[in-house]
Amino acid sequence: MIERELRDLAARVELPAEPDLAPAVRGRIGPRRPRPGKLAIALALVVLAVAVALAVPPARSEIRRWLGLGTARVEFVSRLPDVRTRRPLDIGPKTSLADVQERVPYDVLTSSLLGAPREVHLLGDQVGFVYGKHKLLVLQSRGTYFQKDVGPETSVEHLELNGREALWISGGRHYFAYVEGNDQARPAPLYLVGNALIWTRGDLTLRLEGKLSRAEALRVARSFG
Amino acid sequence: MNEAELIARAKRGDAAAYEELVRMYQGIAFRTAWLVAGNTAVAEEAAHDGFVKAYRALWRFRTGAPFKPWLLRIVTNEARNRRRAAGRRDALALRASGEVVSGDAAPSPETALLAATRRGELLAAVNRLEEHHRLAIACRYFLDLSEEETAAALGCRRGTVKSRLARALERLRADLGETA
Repeated sequence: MIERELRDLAARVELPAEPDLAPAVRGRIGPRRPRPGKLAIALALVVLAVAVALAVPPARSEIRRWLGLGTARVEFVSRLPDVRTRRPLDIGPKTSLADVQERVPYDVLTSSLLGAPREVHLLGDQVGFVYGKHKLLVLQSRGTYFQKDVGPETSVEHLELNGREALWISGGRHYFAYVEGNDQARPAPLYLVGNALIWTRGDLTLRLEGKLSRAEALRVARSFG
Repeated sequence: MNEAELIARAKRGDAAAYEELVRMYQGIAFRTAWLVAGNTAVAEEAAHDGFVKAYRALWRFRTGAPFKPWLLRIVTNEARNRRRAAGRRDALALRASGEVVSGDAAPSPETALLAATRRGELLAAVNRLEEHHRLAIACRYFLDLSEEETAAALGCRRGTVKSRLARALERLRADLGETA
């Protein structure tokens, strides 16, 4: 009885008029995409400064737009910090393939092309493989979020890999930072990265970084199944 | 374009797609924020900031998950954070009579008066409820949110919403001198 009365009452309760929030929200989230939905958007937007952009509040206000793929986020910023120093990787302690297969809550993907990695690292649920002398990196995770900021020197392209979207970042330096929940970034040491490919496989997000061409990177990515 | 397509586009950075999502949900987001904050200006600010935060967090939104409760959780969190600064809370009130169009035949003046009196008493009883009970009733019955959406809006579990609703209805009956 009283439930029905409350439902009837709903139409008679004075609620404030709905404001039009869309224009103001739009004004804060960035401009219209130049070519939405196109593959291979070579935007000539570039270089990343993730960790630094996150650490320096003013840089956050200059975000132009962003792309998301799996647990990855790429933000386009108008200005990047001047960071030249190469620093050690922050991908967690070194361990073994058997160990990570035991400890992460998903089936770890391995390459049928590259063979056994030279090093295996684990950070949270992120597994990092290091191959060869030139530090070709492949990282995979299900719940570790990371972010890259790109400025005007790097190209970000949408590709298709195994029928799913992938992002190819090339042409400039970039950096990354891990991001923990609620939009809070954990500062990570900056390091120079050659080119990068980000793709998803099932509920995993994978990232490849190294001095590879796009074709080589795609070949390596496909070798992860 | 449906909601899933808009979300997919917005996740890829399409601001226009996200603007469409804002238009789809700004009404319920603002009204839920108003219930929580109890103040129109604060609710508008909370909804606005909530939509911006949701856009920045959209990359973490799980594809296929219900968007509305996810959004309401972010917006009402903003409203809760501003509640203290909002000062005096707006009480729920009835619209001016005659604004509600009914398909029923016009009741007699006596019946209409009795019904209006009853509605006034019921709403007054809702306003007298403790805050968490009042919000549960208002979200569920006045905003027509599902239990899951109400739980998201109030920042609690679905089971908590069920128990708060049961207790709130019990209090209303007692306040109005009724038995279950």
